[in-house]
Amino acid sequence: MLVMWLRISSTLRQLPLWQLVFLAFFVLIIVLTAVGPYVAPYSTINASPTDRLIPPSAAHWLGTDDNGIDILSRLLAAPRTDVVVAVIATAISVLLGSPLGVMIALLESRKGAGSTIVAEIAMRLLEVIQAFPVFVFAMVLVAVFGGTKVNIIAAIAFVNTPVFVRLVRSDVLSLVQRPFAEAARGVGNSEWRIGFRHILPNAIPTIFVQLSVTIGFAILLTAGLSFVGAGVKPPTPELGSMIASGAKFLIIGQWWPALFPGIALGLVVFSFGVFGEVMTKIMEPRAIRSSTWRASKTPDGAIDGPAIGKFTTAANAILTVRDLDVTPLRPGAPPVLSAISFSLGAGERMAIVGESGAGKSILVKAVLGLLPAQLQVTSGQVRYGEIDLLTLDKSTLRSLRCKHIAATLANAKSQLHPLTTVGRTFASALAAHQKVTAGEARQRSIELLRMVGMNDPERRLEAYPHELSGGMAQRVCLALALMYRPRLLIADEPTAGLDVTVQRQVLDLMEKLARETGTAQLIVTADLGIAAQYCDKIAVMQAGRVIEVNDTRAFFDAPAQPYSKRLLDSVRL
Amino acid sequence: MTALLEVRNLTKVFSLGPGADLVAVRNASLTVDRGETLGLVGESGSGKTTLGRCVLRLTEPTEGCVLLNGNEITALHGKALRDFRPRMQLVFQDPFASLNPRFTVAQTLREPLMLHGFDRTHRNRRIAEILRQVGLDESAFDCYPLDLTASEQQRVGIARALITRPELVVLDEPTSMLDPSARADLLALLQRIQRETGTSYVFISHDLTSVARISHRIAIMYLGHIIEQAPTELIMGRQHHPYSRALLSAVLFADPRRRPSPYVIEGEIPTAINPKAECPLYGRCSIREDACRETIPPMVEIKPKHMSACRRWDHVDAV
Amino acid sequence: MPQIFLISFITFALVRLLPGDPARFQLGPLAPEEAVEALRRKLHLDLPIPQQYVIWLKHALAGDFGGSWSQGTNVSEDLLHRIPVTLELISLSLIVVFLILVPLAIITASRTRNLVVRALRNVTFGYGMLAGALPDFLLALLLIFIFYTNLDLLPGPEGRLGILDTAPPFVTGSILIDTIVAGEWNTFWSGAWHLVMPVFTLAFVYGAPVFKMLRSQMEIALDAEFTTYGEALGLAPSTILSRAARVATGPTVVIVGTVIMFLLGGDVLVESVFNMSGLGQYAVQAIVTADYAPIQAFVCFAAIFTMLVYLAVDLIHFAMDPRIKVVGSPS
Repeated sequence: MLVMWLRISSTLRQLPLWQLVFLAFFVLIIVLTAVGPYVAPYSTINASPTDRLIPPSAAHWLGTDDNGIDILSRLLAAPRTDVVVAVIATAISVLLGSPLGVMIALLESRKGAGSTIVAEIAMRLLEVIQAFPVFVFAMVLVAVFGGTKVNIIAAIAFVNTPVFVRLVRSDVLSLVQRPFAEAARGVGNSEWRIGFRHILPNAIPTIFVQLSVTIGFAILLTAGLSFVGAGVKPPTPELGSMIASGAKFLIIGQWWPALFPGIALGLVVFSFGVFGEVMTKIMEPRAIRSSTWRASKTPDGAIDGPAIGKFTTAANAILTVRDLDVTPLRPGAPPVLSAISFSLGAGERMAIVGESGAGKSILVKAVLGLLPAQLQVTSGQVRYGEIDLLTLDKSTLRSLRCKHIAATLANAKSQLHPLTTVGRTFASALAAHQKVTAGEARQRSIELLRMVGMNDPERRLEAYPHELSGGMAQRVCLALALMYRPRLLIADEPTAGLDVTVQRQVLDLMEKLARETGTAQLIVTADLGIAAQYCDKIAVMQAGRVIEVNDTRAFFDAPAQPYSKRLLDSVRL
Repeated sequence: MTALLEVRNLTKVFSLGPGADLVAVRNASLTVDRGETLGLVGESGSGKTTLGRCVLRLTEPTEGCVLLNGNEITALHGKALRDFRPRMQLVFQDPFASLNPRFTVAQTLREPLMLHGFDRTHRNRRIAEILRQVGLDESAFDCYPLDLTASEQQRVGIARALITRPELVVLDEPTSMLDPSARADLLALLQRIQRETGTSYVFISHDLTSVARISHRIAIMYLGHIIEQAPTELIMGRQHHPYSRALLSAVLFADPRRRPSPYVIEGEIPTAINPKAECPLYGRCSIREDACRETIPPMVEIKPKHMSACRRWDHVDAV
Repeated sequence: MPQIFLISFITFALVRLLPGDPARFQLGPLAPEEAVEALRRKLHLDLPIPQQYVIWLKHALAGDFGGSWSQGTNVSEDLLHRIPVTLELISLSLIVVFLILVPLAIITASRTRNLVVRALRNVTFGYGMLAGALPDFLLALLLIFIFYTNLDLLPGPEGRLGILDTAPPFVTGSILIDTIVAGEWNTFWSGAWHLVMPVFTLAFVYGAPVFKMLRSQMEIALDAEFTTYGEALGLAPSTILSRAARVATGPTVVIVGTVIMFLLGGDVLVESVFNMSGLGQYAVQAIVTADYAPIQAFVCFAAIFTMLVYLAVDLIHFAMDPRIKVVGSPS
């Protein structure tokens, strides 16, 4: 189980200090659960009326309760009751609930008439059980069947099982849609094997998260039940009943019989919570062997060495990027972009090509000033005409956006706000830069939609993003970008995910608009075909650097860098 | 010599509710010979993915039958179907999502062998063999999907498909999520394996350049119909259906001197819900005539080995 | 709908299983056996359970929930007096949650470098952790200890009003409303002060899940692509925040629904500690004394309330998210 050890140690190393502290406390609690009663300095159940309510002192560190019993001793013995009850009850809930959840989900996804009915009935029953107010239901169960520990465990388990059934069911339902489940079927697995061998293990992280929450809840429930007298009965030391018996003294100022158990209760629940979080982190599937495995792989192609090509710093350059560096905030992390330099003249169209991970999208965000919080520009200039965009304050930058520098980012449908109609998005975008009435906004939006070739623009205004096709969404984003006839348009993968014929339509449209409005375009793409057919200049990126810049024809005739040559070879027919 | 795979009149209809039927595949027929690759091309909504899955019975066809090596797959059920699976496999589009994130490479590859009765010594030998064949190092054995690059993950997917020595492998967009250079490598790998083992492929993709590279024959689909079928060189040279022509004109070559052809089809792909009994391209076609609206044009062999479902197939060049 | 019948029936059966003989309890240990028998027959305790249920159902549908023998009162009247108390507590707690916790969640979700926001982030992080571990009854006791026993700022756990106050005439059952209606300002303030600690306890403990969910959903929304795009369009920061909040509300509403249900069951303890004479305290007393009718009524009320909450949550979701469609219409 080397893998398990690797997981545990790597997670532990990254934990903040306070979590480690509570983890240690958690271990302590487990230890106490086992040996608590035996390490207590005094008896935990023998009443001693002469020692009633002694405040914390040298002999009794936490004082004594109203029966004269040493509170510290009771506290050492109490976790055993609460934890054992809670853990066993939760274990039962999980062991009962998870397979049930898997079975119900499998029945539902089978879509046969019979299975669906069974699943329906099961879910309705669950709803009934869950409709009872939890605490009261547990109380009733305990009252009916008696207040023994076994019954309390059973009551808590019963109340919590539907939670796991529900959780596992919904997790399985979504996992069943994933390709690996289909692959398991393709290989020849039977349905039940897929459910239990493939899907359930992947639901374990979710179960674990819920597990720690439920144990905490179960502990609180046990304490609560005992507090009202419906749970564990004295003289068994239990945190809730200790708080209850101490409550009346708390109010008149004798705080120690109630406060110490209270603090202990909070600490116990909290430690379980931390334990749960840590366990989740450990269980996350992730690259374990990255450091050793990847070290053995040789990096692809030349990265060092100067970039090759022409960097026009013409006087009328719309966009000049000079020696741009972008690094993550985390100290010691390697730069994401290094020494990026290129320029774009007015009306020119330039393609930035590279494979995934080369840093193209980050470059777009850096130019726009939209880097995510974990990244920052560490040096370089991004000049729009004469202005260095990196030195501007937020509101000036905002006023430049859309009016001068517009952008469409990758995947048009997810760019648009899912709960806003197209019309409202247009209205907001217009209103952000000038005063418009609702009527004017609507007029302008319809004009713009017509300009990008959408038929029936009035109807499209009422549509939500999910009702649009990919091509339509991209047109909407183009319309939004060209609202103010900007001098620079940056398009990040404008045709990714679109059908081939639609791709052609969108690219031809962009070409037409560029001609009509004189907008310079910076198109980021992984498709060399787009670069070849629609752009005047091309810049090749690899591993965060621009390694070659050239006019398109010249580049395709004679790529200079070995990496560029390899790229071209792989796409030539 | 009978073909390895024969699909006859396959139709798949999804019921979206009362009165709303999505016809994903309509009356599709095709054949694949031994050791041959058939490319299945189409845009979104063409039904190519559904057709691929119906062939493997991962989706149940509504009508029609599929024969693999003379066995009628569509008549098998339950355990008989499961026992047949080693002979026909699928490679998925998303390399990462098609692997169980909690299984190591070894576990993923071992499973098909375990399910179909290979014993332990055979298993380990076969796994080592297939890893070599797909170009993965033995140290990949204990890796989890997250430890691998996308290209490596896809190789595992291919290994899993080939490990039981299937006669037919359906590949559903196997390279669309990979970078261009990885794409080329993978296609070369697939071709090499086909040469070595004689496995037949059905290569589903929307990318004509990849399909043309690897396929012997191409079938083009639109809105659930197969509208043209021919050997690759014939169809790449001259198309006999307006949609095929549009598809080819849309290809952007990585060569500035080859300008894209001016023919672009207008409009968007219509919905496949409750389609009318007419030519599926009717709404967008520039050479249509009234007869095209009345019935669905049948698939006819217009030249030797070249089939088209267009009534005016000889007028396509003029478009 | 049929679930309600099932729920009430299950409760009925369970409750009947509570140990002890109600007839004997009512008449006391010294009563003669024939009298106990007679009372049992009068209470229909000799009939099989399903039949007893039908009889109860008939009465219940007419609004008669029987009598509480331990209190000597009519259950329907009790409900009328106690439900508003609990509702008042729950509503006030929810108002506090919405007024304080919701804006806090939204503000602390953004990753600005603003010092105030960052300080708030750390504080609320601690709050999130703490509130999950602290039981409500403990917090209630602590508050009483600090603010009543030691600082003498707030009234003690003596109920809704002080010992010397007189209750206002009954209009809605809610202390705050009734005192305003009757114009009794002193009583109003007394009632308000008595409500401070219970409401705070409930809001603190049960607001935490809402807070955590809302904040994490806001963080997700702010990281989402549509936010970046909104910034690229040049939208004002407030617009971007409100757009993100709209997306974050969806899952939060579900949690709010769950929390409301928990409040109903959870305020049982808080009501008991503060002696608020609400529905929860009523139910607890009834269980402990094996008093059937009140328990029955309480569970029915709770079940109906739960169904209504679920329904409301579904409706809100449906109204807010255009992506959810009614079953049957093709997309």
